[in-house]
Amino acid sequence: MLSSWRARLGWSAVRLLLTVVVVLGVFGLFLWGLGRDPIKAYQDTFRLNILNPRGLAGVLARMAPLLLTALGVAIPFRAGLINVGAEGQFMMGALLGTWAALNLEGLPMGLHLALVLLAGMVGGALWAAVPGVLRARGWVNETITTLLLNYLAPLVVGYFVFGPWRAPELAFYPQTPEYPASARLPLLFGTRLHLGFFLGLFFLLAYAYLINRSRWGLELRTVGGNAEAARRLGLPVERWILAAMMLGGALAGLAGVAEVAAIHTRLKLDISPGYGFMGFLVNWLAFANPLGILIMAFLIAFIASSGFTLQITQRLPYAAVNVLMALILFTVLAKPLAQRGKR
Amino acid sequence: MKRAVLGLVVLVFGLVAAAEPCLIVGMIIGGTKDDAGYNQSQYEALMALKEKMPCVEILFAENVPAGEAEAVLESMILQGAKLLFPAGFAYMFPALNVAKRHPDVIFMHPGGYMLADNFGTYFSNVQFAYYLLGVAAGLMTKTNKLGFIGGMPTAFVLGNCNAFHLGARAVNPNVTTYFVVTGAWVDRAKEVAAAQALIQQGCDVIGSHLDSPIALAQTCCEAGVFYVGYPSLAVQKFCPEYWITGLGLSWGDFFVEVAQQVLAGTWKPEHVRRGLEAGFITLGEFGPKVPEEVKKVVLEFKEKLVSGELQPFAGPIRDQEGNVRIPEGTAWGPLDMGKFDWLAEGVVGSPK
Repeated sequence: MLSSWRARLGWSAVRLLLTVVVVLGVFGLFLWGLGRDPIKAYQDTFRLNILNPRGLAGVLARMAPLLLTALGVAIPFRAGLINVGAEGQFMMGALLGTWAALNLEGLPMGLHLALVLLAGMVGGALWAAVPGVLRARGWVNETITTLLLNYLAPLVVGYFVFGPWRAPELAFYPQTPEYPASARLPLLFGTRLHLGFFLGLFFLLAYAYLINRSRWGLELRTVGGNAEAARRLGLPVERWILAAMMLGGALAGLAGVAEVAAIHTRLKLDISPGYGFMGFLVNWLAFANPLGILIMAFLIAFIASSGFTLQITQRLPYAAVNVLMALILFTVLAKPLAQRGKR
Repeated sequence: MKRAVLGLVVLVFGLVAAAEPCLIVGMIIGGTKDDAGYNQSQYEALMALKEKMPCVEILFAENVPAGEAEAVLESMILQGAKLLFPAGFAYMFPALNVAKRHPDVIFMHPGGYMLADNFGTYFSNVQFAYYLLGVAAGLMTKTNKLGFIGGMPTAFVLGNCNAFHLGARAVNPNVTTYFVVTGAWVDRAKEVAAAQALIQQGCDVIGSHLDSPIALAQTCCEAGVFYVGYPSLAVQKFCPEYWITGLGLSWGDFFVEVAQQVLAGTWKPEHVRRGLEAGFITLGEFGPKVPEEVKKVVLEFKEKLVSGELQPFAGPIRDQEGNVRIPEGTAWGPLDMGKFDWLAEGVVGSPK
């Protein structure tokens, strides 16, 4: 048992290493073809985003929403559900959190922030409840509904940002007034790293413990493994499906409100560069494994940060950065095939 | 081995010393550097700085969403930038956040209204110069119907539309201006639809306030109607035939001024607003179909504007309902341009 677990970990490490080597190699050739120095490019990227403490803090700040959105996909995944909707849940979390931030001012410092974060979780959970109910009742597949709701969420946010919540002095770019100080998530060490990162780590640990060691985790995984068998065992399968979706949505929503409360400090439409979709990618790379989520979230955060470093240091056109992203996706897409072969 | 290492160290130090720049300057823009519009005008000013001060090292990133601005600016500071141009209105708050964390780095933001110890702003007095495009349009129109496409109905857009209309009326009292809003600074499809709608209503000269009027220029060429360009003169190459003239934001010399102030330690945070007289905005060449007579009149108006003899927003000016907005004997200056929430008499369209 232990040895097979070790072998699997070994295989994962080899696969990760191979992925990295292939991506860096091919992209290096691409850089070389453009007349750039790939070694220098990788050195700069590493020096500025890993070795430099401020740069590293920037990568970790980007990891915060990725950890939470990845968990938002992982929990439904364990229940056999595909939640493509973390992006929309992220936005709705930010929306409801903003309501709390702007309307509950005057509460004591910690209480206000706690309510803002809680409201964000409720926003994400409610948005995820829609596909959750539809799936639990057996009406509509959740992959479709969560995906489609991603397109709806920015329209809802847009209604408030362009309409009732718009800050009057900001005619050029519609956004809400600034969060009051009591609703802000503190930034740490004078960098962009914020408390949301530790919230992400906390929920990752909680997930790791609950999913493997608790009765709830066992029931959830049973529902995910074989819903029919779970039903015959007397498990409330419908309730578990709804709960898994709402829990996932709550964490994605927390990611959204934390990002606004820490970094942007006001709600606007461009708060996410696709954190929900990146979280989906993280979970997919990690197969809902907690340690895998930690590593992959770091990797994706690092790559996203490197994109702009490459543009600045190597004068690469913006489109070239997309080539790197596409290469990673491509290599990642090749993974399940190799796995299928092994089984 | 030791000698090799020593040699390498000497070589690296030598290279660093040789390439040591006098100042590292960074810029981020929200679009592409060749959009023939707002972003290109910013990028060209940066390149002019590099050309006039070769000791400056440039860091540049395009297509930076506002949500990513903080990360990219931080990265530029890590690479030694001491002067940053977050060159988009949407970067105002993200850049202010970064400025708070780095008091030793100077920020210059285009068009914002916030100041901090290390955060100043710059922009051109566009509305006054836009009056000249109106004069040209008023002389060129045959149908006496002008069109104006705005990205969003903000005070500065309404001001430009009013200036366009008032300039045209100054030389042609029969002019009516049709005002349309697309709802976004960049939306090619809506810009084409808006231009086509204006052309169908009979407008034969079209002005605009968008990030990039490329799609508008191309639509005008297809329909054979004239247009005026803003905010970059580069747009004329997309339809040279029906180009009347245009305005280009031109900040190259000012960027040099700022860089020298930063180097000398004399930089101060302030709102820098200058116009045609200071080269902050440039009137373009005239197109091939523009008669000499028209050119002459426009240039006369330009001279009066630069000398201060001409006040484009001198009262009495009425709004669409006929209410006097600028009373007789008064004139709106550069600091009043944020106050437009109305369209002048003779403009068709909604200011909201």
